[in-house]
Amino acid sequence: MITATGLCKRFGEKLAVDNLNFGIEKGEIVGFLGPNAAGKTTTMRMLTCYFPPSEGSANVAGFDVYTQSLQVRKNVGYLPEHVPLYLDMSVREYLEFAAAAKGVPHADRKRAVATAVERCSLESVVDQLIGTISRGYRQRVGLGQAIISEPPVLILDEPTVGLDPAQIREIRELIKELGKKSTVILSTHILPEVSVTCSRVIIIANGRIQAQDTPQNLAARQLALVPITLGVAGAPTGEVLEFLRGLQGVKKVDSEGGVFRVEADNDRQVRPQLARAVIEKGWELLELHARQATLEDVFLEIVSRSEAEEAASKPEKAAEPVAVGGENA
Amino acid sequence: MIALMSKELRTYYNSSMAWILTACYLLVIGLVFVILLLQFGSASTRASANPMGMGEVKVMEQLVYPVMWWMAFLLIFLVPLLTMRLFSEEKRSGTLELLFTYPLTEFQIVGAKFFSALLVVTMMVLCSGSTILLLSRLVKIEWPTIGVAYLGLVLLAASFVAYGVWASSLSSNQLVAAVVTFGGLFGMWLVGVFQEAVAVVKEYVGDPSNLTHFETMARGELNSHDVVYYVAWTVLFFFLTMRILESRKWST
Repeated sequence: MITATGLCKRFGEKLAVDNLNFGIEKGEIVGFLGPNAAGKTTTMRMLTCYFPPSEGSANVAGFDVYTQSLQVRKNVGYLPEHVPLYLDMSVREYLEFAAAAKGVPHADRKRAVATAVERCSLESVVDQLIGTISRGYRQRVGLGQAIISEPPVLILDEPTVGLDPAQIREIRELIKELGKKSTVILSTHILPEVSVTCSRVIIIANGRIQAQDTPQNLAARQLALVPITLGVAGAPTGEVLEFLRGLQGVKKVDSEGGVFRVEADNDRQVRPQLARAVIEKGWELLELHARQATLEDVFLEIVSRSEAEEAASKPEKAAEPVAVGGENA
Repeated sequence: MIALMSKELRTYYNSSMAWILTACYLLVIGLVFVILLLQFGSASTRASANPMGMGEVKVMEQLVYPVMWWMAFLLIFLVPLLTMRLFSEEKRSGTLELLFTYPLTEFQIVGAKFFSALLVVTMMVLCSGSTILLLSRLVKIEWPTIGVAYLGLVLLAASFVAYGVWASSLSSNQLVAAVVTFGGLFGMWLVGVFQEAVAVVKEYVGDPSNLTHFETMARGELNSHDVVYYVAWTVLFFFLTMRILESRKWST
């Protein structure tokens, strides 16, 4: 349904999107996950023909975004970030306008509006001005205009940003529902969002794809470092810290009320070694637990790795990107 | 394009912007008409009192022409207020981004904005024709002259609106758009005023001012070069607006 081949976008010197390659099948709900300024919105703008790619090409619903822009736009429903709407129109007027502007034939418009209102549960506000309805409802109106012509592809840029938890849940349910009829791409920097709604995740950082897989597979990935929780009694904290830091394979140790958080190489040898060393010291081992990696761990590791690479590739500016990376993580 | 146009017209008339501007326009035209009528009245009394039959008065030249001129002149002030929000507002709120992802061409988007604003101005100008209708009950009116004058007025309005739409596409600030429009239109009028004084301008630039081209039409002279001037001006700014909108695609 959607394929991107060597997609690049340059803004002056800055390479905002760098050689993206991905394919999305019909009926998938795919999440673009990445820190702010990773290139998610830029990619979406290229897919919706807001502007053309600098290099490479993308094909949406069987049409090329550059040479067949009009056909692509007929087949895509887009919800930009911050949901721009005409606040001085009523919901019904606005949806009727969207239907007409998207070329829904005159005879079908009433029905298209009714369907969108029903699917997005807008019945109670349909005759109110958009300026007077809540943020959650505006988001629904935004989704309503995206689906009004029943396009096979939906592209949603941060559809749940700025909503309260109840609204977020409703919008997620709605997106899942919409995903039954259309292929959906949504972008987010909120992790639970992708594990709840998406069948596949594409992690983008610094304009490049860092990983793509199902949320389950990503979470099951082996981390380079494994977080271990270690409970030790019978010795002063400082001494234990000192000792643990000296062990082979241990990268980082913190303590918190007698519990030590160890980050060690993801190697089967490390945990038995830790246990043995503590016992040999004559201390009491209360707890030893390696935490299962979450999507968040994987995401943070991928992002921080990409930023480290970015910093390394620009030695003359090394100091600055590292600082920025720290903030984003 | 029809969809976008009807949306724009609805915004104009729902927000009362069009109503207020039309009302202001008609009020000022009415005042101007009354003042000119009184002046004309005293002039014709004086003329008829002249036993030598000197100082004959011409209704078309001394009353209708000044009224038409004021109708055109006032547009310099009103068109900026009408066109300022067309693109600026959508740029600021981000709705323009969404519009660009609809299956609409730049031509359709600019066309819808241009024609909806032109329609509002045309309605405004046509309403002001009530003064002429009133006059036609009192004196004999040369209707072909009025026809040409109104054609000139609509062409002038089209050139003003095209320029205003272009100015609106430059900035996301409505005020900036209005000032650029007003400055440009007023500047063009000044050029027309000065060209009589500065021979060099007249010789090398010809008639650059929008309003001077209208002055011949308001007298009932239909010259192709005046029509061509307005059409060229309108097409130029229509085209420039399209280029401004497309400029988002130029970053490579």
